Amino acid sequence: MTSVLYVEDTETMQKMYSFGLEQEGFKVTVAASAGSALAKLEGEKFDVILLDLMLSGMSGLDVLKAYDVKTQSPGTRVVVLTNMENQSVKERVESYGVAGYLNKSEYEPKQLADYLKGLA
Amino acid sequence: MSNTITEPDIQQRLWMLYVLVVVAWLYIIGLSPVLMADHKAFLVGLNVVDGLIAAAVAWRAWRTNRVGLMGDIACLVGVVMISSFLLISGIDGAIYSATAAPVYFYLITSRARATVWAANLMVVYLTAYILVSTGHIALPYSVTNLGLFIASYVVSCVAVYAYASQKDRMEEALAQSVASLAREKASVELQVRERTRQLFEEHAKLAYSIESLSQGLIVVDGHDHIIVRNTSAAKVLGYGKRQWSLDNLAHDAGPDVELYEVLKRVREKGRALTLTGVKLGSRILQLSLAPVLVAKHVISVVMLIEDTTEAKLQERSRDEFFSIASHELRTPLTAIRGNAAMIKQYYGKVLGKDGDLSGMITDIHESSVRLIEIVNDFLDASRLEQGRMQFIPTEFDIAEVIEKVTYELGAYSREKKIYLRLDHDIKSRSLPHVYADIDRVKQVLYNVIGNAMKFVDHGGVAIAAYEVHGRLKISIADTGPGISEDGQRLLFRKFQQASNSIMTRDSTRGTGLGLYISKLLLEQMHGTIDLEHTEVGHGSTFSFTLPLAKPLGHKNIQYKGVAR
Repeated sequence: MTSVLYVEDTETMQKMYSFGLEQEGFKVTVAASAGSALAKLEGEKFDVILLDLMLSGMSGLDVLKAYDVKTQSPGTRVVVLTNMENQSVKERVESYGVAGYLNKSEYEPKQLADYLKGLA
Repeated sequence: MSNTITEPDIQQRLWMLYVLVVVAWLYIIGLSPVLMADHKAFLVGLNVVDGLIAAAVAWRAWRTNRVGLMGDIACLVGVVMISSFLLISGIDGAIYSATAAPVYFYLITSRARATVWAANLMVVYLTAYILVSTGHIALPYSVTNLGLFIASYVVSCVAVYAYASQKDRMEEALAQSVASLAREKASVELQVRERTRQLFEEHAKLAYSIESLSQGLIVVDGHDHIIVRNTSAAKVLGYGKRQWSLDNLAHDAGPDVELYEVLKRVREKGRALTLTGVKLGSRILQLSLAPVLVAKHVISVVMLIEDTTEAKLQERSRDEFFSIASHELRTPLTAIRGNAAMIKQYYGKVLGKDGDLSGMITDIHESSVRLIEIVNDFLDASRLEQGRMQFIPTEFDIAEVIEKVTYELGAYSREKKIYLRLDHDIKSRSLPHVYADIDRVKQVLYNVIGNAMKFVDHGGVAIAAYEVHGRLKISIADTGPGISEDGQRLLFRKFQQASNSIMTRDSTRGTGLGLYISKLLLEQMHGTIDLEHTEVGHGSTFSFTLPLAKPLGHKNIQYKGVAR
């Protein structure tokens, strides 16, 4: 079963994507903040980190800075899922070697599940 | 006009003339054996007149100016002495005095006076001649000889007069050049005065301009000293009087700027340099440095300091507006869309029992999808209008992109039961590559093909691509209702559908921004879009062009720097 760490502070999004992904056979762990995500990453390895960028306190970008996926968990794929559109932020995020940068509004839960299945 | 004859050339000429006269006299002596009768008298006369002339020349050379009274006295003495020779010493001295006298007169005094004295002596000679020829007096020589020395006297007078005239002309020419030099000097002085005044004026203008600049201006000399600064510089930098030094400025600008290094670079390269986003406390400054070149040497550096804090904040808030607007508007819509989709997907059985409920959920889902499209269109249009959309051009195969887009639109065409056809060149991937931003080209394809499909109820949409005039043309032909002439005029305009008025908008068919956005996107990518053909009742053909990728080793079209 593919394990997903979903970093998201908006509750409606947490509920919606967790439910959808679970329906499609994913094991979803939700982290409501960057700090919580980093704490979870210390103890556990995930197949996919699904990362929202606009978070309260530390941002999704800070998670990428603090947790070097390439060295600390080479098998983990990072997929950014955000509704924020900003070219320079996108470029910075992509410089961390993320597997995908998805526009949330274009991905319904089922479509996201299909995308993640395609990654593996 | 100066009468000086102390100039060496004039003296030389006088001596030469004197020698000539002596030679002429010896020549006359040689011709006439009669004249050789009394050698003793000849020698006395020669020595006396010779001495007189030498003394006169020395005297004239010593004195710088001709002397009126002294000259007259000397001339009178000369006439008396010559007359004595005439009376007592015989033919030799008389002949000699006849030829030397005009020279003597001229050397002693001015030309005018010399002429008067020459005339006086002429009277003496002629009187003597008349008295001798009429037999009233008996002189030691004949009438013939007296005539001879009168003739030699006249020749000598003419020679001296001619010489004097020439000398006067020379002196006049000299005087003229002196006068012309004086005039020139006066004119140069005037020019210098005028130029000095202009320089003062220019300096005043420059100083006033520098002072009235809203930007701070500092001029730094070759030894890193601030030599000029305006009031705005203090204002922009927030410096009081005590803080003024390049050290302070370099320190405040921080190690990121390395002001001394930057100044060094400007001096060495002799080229202007602009530093943006320089942080100085809470201010964000732009520093523009330019070398002041004199004869290819950098003598100082001008630094223009502009406070860009407000502009930066505005730019940031504009960027943030788009980021936040897109995030905040889309997030709730994403929840509506995702949840509506999941209700249909995972609770289909429950819904199946109630047709109305199922229809309502479908409406919610479709509306949310449409609303997301509208939000995207509005944000895109604003971003394009403000030039805040970034383009990343690459070379790619347009056929591959067209296939991908039509594959994704395939579900919609099947749903509408219309065809979506690609021509052979696209299917066989035999098209040249284009140079554009692949994501933006996809967006244009979705817009134009999606638009065509929206308006087709029977038939379908055919897509063709081919090279024309060094560009790639993609044409999209539909079997829709076609566009009336009025409608054609509104195409590619903001919020315009090819329908009649705001009251008759068909809001199920889009915002009316699709073609407008496509046009702006293509313009940024050096492309064009056109309505190629339309016929009411029979459909329309839209086409757009993109620049071809240049062969290896050739530069592709340069994109304008688009702000992020």
